[in-house]
Amino acid sequence: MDPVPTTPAPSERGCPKCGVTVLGEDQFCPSCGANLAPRPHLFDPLPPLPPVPGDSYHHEVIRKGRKWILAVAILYTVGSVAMYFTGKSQVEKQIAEAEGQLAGLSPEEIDERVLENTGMTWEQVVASDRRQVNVALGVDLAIAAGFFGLWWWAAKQPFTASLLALLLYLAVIAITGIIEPSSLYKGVILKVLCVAALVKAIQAAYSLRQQPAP
Amino acid sequence: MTLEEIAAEVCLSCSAPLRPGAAFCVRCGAPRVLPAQGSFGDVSFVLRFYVAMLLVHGAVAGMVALDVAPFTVDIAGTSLWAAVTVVAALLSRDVLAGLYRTLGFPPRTLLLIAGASLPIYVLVDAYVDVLSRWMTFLRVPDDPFAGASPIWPVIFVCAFPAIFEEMGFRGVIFGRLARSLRLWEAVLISSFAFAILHLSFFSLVTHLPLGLYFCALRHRSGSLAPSMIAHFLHNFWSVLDSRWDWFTFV
Repeated sequence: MDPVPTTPAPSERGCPKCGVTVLGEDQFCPSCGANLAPRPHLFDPLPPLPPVPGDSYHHEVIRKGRKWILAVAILYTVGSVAMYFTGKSQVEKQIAEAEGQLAGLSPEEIDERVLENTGMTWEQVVASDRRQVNVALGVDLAIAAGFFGLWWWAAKQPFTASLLALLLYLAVIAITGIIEPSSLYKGVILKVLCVAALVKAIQAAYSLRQQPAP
Repeated sequence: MTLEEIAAEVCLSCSAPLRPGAAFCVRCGAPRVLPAQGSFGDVSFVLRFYVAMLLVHGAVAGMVALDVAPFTVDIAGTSLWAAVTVVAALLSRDVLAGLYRTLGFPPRTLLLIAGASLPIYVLVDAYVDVLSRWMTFLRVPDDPFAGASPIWPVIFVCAFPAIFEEMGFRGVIFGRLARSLRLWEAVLISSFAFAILHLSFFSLVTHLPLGLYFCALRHRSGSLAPSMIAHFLHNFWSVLDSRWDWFTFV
């Protein structure tokens, strides 16, 4: 179906509402704002943007805001991989220690003792501990992917994407702080910088859509 | 280049270049000077509210670390959450006032919403069940009200969250953002905050669609009552489930 069925052949015509001369490619009257070629569907895309000469204020603001989301995404990815390796070596150390303590016992006695404490057999406990580290990496990488996704999306929706990035970042700080309180002051300067930069990105993106001062 | 100079050349809504002397953008139809809607104050208020609720979670974690009984922690945490929400609601009286004048839907629709809450709960519960069986280390926390009178969970798990979470997320956050932003942005951001503020691994996936559903109820009805009913019943099924194992067939 032709999405714009009423586009006239001549390149110039009059606006049906106010009579001002409009060009053929115009979707709206420049004088009264009347819709010249009603789009049949709500979600029909706007006509493509003409290329922007140079780097305008708009693009500068968006570029700066996006940079910070990208920085958070990269930091988060590096951090989660580092956490994975430290977590893995810790778990293996704990397993080795526990094996040392249970060395003299038969497998049945070991299972009996472990069942009493955890409700799982020895093999299940080991598998569960190892899986925990892998799942933690998976969750961390999914959150990092979320930041990368927001970075990509910020090119189109700078305001919403940077606001969601800030909400996600604050929640991640809170959750890791609750799980491990000492993590709160690790890299605190970097965290404050990231929050401040994301707030600035939100403010700038919001100012782009507001009325300019008279 | 200042914003004013940009606004003279480029449409602030879609970035297309403006015709000299035109009052409207020929590409998207937006007026050259966008009418001011709401303010950044709404966005920053929502951000401060969000941080306050994260701090409530911090206080709860502190109480757990100090070995306070789970029963007390749950009641204190829920009441603190409610108090923060009431303060935010009092500061946002203008967006909340209209929401309490009506039930929003005719009784038949409210009954339909009540009926739909059961299958929705079963779906959510099945997801949590399957996931927690696979991830054995992610224990679903024990019921803090086990052994206590059933009045307690009905008040502090069903009624309080239904009333105050709806007031906070659908009243204050959604109401303020919908005034300053586009509708879909307000829906998305308030649902995202709703999902993330439960600070649970499972809720990240289950509470985003739930938040969208409650936002739709709130937006279509112009009242908080339908989403409060749906929220209350959802939590009520979970209490029945954890106390008496009603839904073990899942």
